[in-house]
Amino acid sequence: MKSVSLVLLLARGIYAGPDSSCTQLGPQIRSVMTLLDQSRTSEAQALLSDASEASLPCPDRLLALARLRAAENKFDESGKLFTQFLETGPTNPEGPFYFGAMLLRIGYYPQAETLADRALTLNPSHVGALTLKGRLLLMRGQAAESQHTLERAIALDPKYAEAHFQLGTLFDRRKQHESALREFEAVTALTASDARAYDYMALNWEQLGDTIRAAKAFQRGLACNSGPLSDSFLDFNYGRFLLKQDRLQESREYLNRAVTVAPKVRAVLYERAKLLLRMGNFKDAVQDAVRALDTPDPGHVILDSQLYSLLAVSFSRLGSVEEADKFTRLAAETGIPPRSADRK
Amino acid sequence: MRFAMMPVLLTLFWGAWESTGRPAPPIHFESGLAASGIGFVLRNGTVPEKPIIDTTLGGVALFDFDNDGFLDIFFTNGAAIPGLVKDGPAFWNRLYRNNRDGTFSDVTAHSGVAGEGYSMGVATGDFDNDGYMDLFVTGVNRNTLFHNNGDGTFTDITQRAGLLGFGASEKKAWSVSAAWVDYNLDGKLDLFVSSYVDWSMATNSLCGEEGKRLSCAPATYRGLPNYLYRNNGDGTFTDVSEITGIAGHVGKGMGVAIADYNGDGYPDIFVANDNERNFLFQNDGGKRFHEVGISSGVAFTEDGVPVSAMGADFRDLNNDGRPDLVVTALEGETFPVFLNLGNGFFSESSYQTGVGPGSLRKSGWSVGAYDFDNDGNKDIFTANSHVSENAPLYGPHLYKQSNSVWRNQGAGKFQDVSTQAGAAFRVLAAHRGAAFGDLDNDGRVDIVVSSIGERPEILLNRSSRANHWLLIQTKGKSSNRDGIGATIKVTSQDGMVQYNHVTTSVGYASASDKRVHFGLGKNARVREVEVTWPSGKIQRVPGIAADRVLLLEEP
Repeated sequence: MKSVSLVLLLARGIYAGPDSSCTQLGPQIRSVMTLLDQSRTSEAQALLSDASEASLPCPDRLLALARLRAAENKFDESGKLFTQFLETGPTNPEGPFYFGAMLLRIGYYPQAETLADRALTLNPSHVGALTLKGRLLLMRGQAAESQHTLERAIALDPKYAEAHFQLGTLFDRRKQHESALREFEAVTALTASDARAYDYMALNWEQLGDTIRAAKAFQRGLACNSGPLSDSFLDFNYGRFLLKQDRLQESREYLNRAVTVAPKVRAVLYERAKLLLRMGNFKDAVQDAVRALDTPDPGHVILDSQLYSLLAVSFSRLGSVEEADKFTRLAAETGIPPRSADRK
Repeated sequence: MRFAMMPVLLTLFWGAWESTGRPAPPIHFESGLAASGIGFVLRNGTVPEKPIIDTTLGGVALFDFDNDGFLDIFFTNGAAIPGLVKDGPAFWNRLYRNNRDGTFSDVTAHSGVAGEGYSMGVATGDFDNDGYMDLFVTGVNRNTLFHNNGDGTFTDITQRAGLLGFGASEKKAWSVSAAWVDYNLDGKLDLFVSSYVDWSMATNSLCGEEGKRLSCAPATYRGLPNYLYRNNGDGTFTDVSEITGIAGHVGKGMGVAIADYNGDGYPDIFVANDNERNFLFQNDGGKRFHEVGISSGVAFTEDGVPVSAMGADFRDLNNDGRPDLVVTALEGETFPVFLNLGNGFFSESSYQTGVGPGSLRKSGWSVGAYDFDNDGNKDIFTANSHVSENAPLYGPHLYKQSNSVWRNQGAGKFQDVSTQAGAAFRVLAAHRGAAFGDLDNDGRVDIVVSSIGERPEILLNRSSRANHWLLIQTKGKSSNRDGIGATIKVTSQDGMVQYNHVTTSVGYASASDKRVHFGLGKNARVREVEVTWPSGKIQRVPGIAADRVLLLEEP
């Protein structure tokens, strides 16, 4: 990751460089880009390897290669290539857009926003850059600006699925479930294999109390849960959903898988502990809850008090009076952060 | 319209319904307001600052104050803000006498129960065992005990009874709900009072933006302990909150519900706390209470978080002989259903029971578990509304909401049938209190619901009459005269077994009919009624014909 920082230093002076063209490689590079858009990384790699060494300085090839490396999670190499591209193709908004998208993936949010802004300076109607910017605005809590930006992207290209997806997440956060569903349905109409969108759809149907549609959305998501649009929390969310439906054995299957995928996520361990408690497997419930308690949860998704409460009940059910009293006391004494001061 | 005509009209109605070829809805209510003559409007005296008190009022009571066999209706009411004074008849609490023909007469002025201050809730019970039900009215820093004189009038005996405040200093608190309960089984009804938050106009906080203020969340204010008064038997009460352990637990109490959850013969007390963990006060031998909410599993949802609990009812929902809990909460939380597993444990089962999905988008206040279609399974009704009048100005919230009814399909599974239960369930209002009872003694449980700024809803149960029923009125001898706390087991002719108990403390800030209702399905006879009186006496009455009010006196 250190070399990414280095790349970012380089990126400050990226906009001056020689202009060049690769007309003979144009169709091939366009195919590579399309394959990368579709997340068909190996095919893109094979096609790109066919390009001759002589064409290495070609900016479009650099961009394609940078994107390929990003898709392969080779972020340092990708960063260097993006920087080279920006040096050679300073007026092409694709460079800062894709570089910004990559930096967002690895958590360099301010730098990603700088690059999104740069792309939009070069082309104010760049739908990808608008979407990237909208997403970053939402992360900064500027929901109204984010919504405006994303809606502009959709107006420019209603078939750009990612803009619908990001707008859907915005509505989801605001608990505007009907609006969120409209966007996620647009996503899946455009990209039938977006497991993330199905997961969100399911969660929103669930919030609207429609468990039948929620279950269908979960199942459709699980059927396509692989590749770049996969959702690593789909097993968890479906397992949690099944637990609520009292389908305990099925829930166990998905929550076990979720624990395998994310063994150090407190929420996952907690959910399985709840399942085990419901199943009357109190000892294992305690084991998962204790593991969860030892697992850092920087996002405060599952509070200590929730685990204390679960441990209090589990130990009570086990007849371990001393432990039950200890965790009852802790649950009672550990404050739960108050919600908003307003009733809205 | 006279009730005497009702059976004929209903037969015509159902005949017409069935002739359309559509199956009759199993649970169906009609509004009886227009014919009732009830003009009461629940006034919260709201001001632009939207102080928190203006959202939480609206208790209703159904009780037979004149012992004529028909339920009368009492409504609590607000007061002017900031003075918290009932500065005119518009703010009076109101008592309506049931004329036994579908109409009611306002007897407030004559009865003397108009009250003072900003009233919240009501509890009904015959605390002095004189055969007439008395009224305890809770309010903001002012509670009132009205003694029923038996001649249609009541006397405010709060001061004489020692109920002006709490503790030696007679501290005032904002009380919401109250329950008459004989916690020490001495044959005299004691009084439990839930307290909400430490609020006054001087400490009032402002929430939301100017011009569209919101009710502040309870987190804005310090919580208060609840109170328990022991009945001394001479018309006075002693505050026993400290010595019984009740005062040691500070919450933000709203609804109160009573049941003997662990079957030890002593009534236990559940307090629904607003955005804090709920309390379950386990009665240890009538001397002390042990708060077991967390370890028993009713303090939080299964997710280990508190909800904005409002109302509660504590009854056996699945006919396993153990009282379960149903609690209302706010939008996005679901209404928790805690099923009693026995051995002192509950399991939060909102989704498994089917109540979860339908309640997720509702904010509930009063709640009651009654068998509305007389099929032998208790259904659930909730009175719904968002808390804040101005909430819709901040997002996709509905302030005025329709009420909900879930039909118990047996085996502890509920189905939301609100949309099929009649036009009355499409009325959007700021519903608050609700009380349950059979207003016309036709064997079907009716509901009276209060709504802020509007006349109440008189929901007359017009579900099919195909099923049989039994309404049991208990009269204690060595137990308290109302028989509050008695548990009743009914075994129908076909072997169906049901359980219920005598309580008037139901829902949110409200009091319901003390008579215990049982739907019997197709059973025209009951094989046996078994009553376990608070005194410990067990009474078994065999071979009873259905479809009547049965008076059972303690042997």
